[in-house]
Amino acid sequence: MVVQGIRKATVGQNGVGAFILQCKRLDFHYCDWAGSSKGMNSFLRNSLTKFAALNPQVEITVSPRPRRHPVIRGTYINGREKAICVRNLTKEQVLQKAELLRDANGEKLRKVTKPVKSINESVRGVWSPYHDGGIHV
Amino acid sequence: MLSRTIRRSILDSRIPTSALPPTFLLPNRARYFNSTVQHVDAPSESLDASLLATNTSAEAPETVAPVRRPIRPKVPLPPAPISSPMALDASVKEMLPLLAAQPSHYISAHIHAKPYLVTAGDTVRLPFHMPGVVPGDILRLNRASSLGSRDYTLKGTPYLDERVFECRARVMGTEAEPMRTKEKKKRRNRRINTVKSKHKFTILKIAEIKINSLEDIEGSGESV
Amino acid sequence: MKRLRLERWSGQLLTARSIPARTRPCCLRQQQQAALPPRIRFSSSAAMLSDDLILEDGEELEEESSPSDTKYPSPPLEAAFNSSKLAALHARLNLSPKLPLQTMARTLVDPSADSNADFNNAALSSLGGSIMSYHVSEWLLCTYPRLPMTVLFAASYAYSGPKTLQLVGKEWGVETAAAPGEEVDPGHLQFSKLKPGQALQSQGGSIRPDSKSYYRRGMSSRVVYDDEFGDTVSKQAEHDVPLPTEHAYASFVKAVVGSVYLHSGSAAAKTFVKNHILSRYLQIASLFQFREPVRELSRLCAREGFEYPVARILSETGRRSRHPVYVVGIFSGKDKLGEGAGPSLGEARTRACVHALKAWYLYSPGANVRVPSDMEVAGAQEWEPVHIDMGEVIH
Repeated sequence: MVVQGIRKATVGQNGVGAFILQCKRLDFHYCDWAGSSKGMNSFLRNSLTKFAALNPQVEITVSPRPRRHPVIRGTYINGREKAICVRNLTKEQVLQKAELLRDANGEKLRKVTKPVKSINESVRGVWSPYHDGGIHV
Repeated sequence: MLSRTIRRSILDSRIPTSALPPTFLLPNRARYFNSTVQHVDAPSESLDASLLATNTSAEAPETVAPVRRPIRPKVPLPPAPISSPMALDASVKEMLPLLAAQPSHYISAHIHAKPYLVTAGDTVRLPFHMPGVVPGDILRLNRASSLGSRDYTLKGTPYLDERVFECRARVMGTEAEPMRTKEKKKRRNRRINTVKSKHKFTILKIAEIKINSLEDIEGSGESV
Repeated sequence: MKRLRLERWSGQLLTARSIPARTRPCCLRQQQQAALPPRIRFSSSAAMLSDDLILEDGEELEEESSPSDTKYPSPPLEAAFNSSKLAALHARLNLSPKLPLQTMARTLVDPSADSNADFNNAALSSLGGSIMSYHVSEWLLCTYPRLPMTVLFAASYAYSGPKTLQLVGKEWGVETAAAPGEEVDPGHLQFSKLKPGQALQSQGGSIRPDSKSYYRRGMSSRVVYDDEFGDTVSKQAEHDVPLPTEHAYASFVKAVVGSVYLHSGSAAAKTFVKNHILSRYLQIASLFQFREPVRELSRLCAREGFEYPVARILSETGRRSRHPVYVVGIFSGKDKLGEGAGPSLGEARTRACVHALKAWYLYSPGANVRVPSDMEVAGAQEWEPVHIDMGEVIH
């Protein structure tokens, strides 16, 4: 028993085999009375059932939040939340915001300068100064 | 031209059943997204135009349809079949199995003429928001300029034939950048105009890079 | 399969109702019972209520309906239809509609939450666990035929061990319930949690026949007596004891695999394992830990009939400086087996030997090599025997 095995855990690569939508839950908060909830209420009445049927992966809850502006709150698999205030928006704009929350991955927004992110080892290897002749002084 | 490439890769439906999970495991529910109202601002017309352009090259050219095609047809159209048989160089025939036998591969896939050097499992943040796709969709990237392993590289002139490899990417979703603000100030004037911008980017995950075997490549040429 | 709770037949209830009223439908029986109107399934609780309402004494009523006495330890089957979390989880995993929500709800109930085997995931999880470990091990054995046994155990632990399965379960978006009970949303993972500072329950010895401490627990005996990770299998442990979160998640993920197998077949279960478990990223080369690589390499060369390995300096820099670098290659005759760089000659030679040994052990006929279960598909090509290695170096 000379060589030992080290116990580790594999790292998930969502999308390589299976794809899991990162948006776990969408909470829709509305107010019956306030005018800023007009578009939200119309969205809840008319388009929410269709939206929910098209996105079965997302758990959808609707709850009143009286005397407050309407809010859509998305909960993500990484544990973070994103909330968007949809006051005074029309029904279509509310749908747009809901789709935005659905497509997001829950990470904090950050500026990305390199387009490709990889955890794989370099395919061609790393250049070494000690090989391929090197520089002879 | 550029939009045609990406369009064709979107519309590719030749996904072999062996490489992908069976249909009930595919994100078939994700397809339902398409019937939601897609908020695509401008590019729908250009997309349609490019779609028609690809079709004309194939067989009987479609007349410019008066009926506006929906942005995503229910069943994606297969790309135009490539009728010319594949002529592989002798050296390529000799080296391609060696390249395929090596353990890991990279590909420099082009999306809108921009190269992305990726390996399987990489995340690509496209510099634009791709219209008409939803999370879970699979795109086939069929334009690549080079394909390689540790010791071998297959270079395209300028692009590789798309029958040599299969590169698939999964649409992971849309990301945004932090809000950018820029202050615009003219001289000798107190007014400051603040411009805000926040762009959206589509995220892709390279799900698969497969190098087709010589039999498959030759066979596809004969069957057509 | 009907569930009888003899211990709860208090005198009054026993006289008031017949036996079937105290039963609960089991989810695997649900398909046969689906024709029944749902009200019948509510009968037990309805009867319970009417019985309680007859009593005039309020205090007695309270006692009767205390949670430990009247409630079931896990949510009722009907709750599975009303749980949006459960439906969302089902859709998120893209499971076939053939797999009903009741089974999905059952996979989330750990034996520590509900000890009744008809309502917890113990059976599904042992089925799914063996399917998963079968697919993982056949893939590992065919892809890396020369892995030493210890590394093979570590690799299968990395793919299907409880730590990984906890990560998988969390990446599926499953949360744990604070405490198991009837009122819990069936979309939550239910198990009785370990309290902080509480020691793990000892599992009561192993099932190995040579369990005495002075017996040596060798590698070959682990293949026979121990589980798929080389750990001892404990004797029949009690199910009711609280358990760590990772074990609860692991049994949930295994139970999902088992239920996919039951409802959609073996091909679907294989694809599920491939997509969710085998697609994860692992560098198997990082699992090796050598104790004496130089000696092991020389034994390997002797066994395989190679020439005796010799270390030679390939290049060096700064020998007289504070941080020299030596690049040493290991040669067997004219073949270079491996090379390594290090700050001293001995270190560089050790690294070169490790490199050479890893290159030997990590031989792979290709990532998409066929595995034995590929032959289960109808019309499969004839089986070509896979590479079988004689095993690791023993010295």
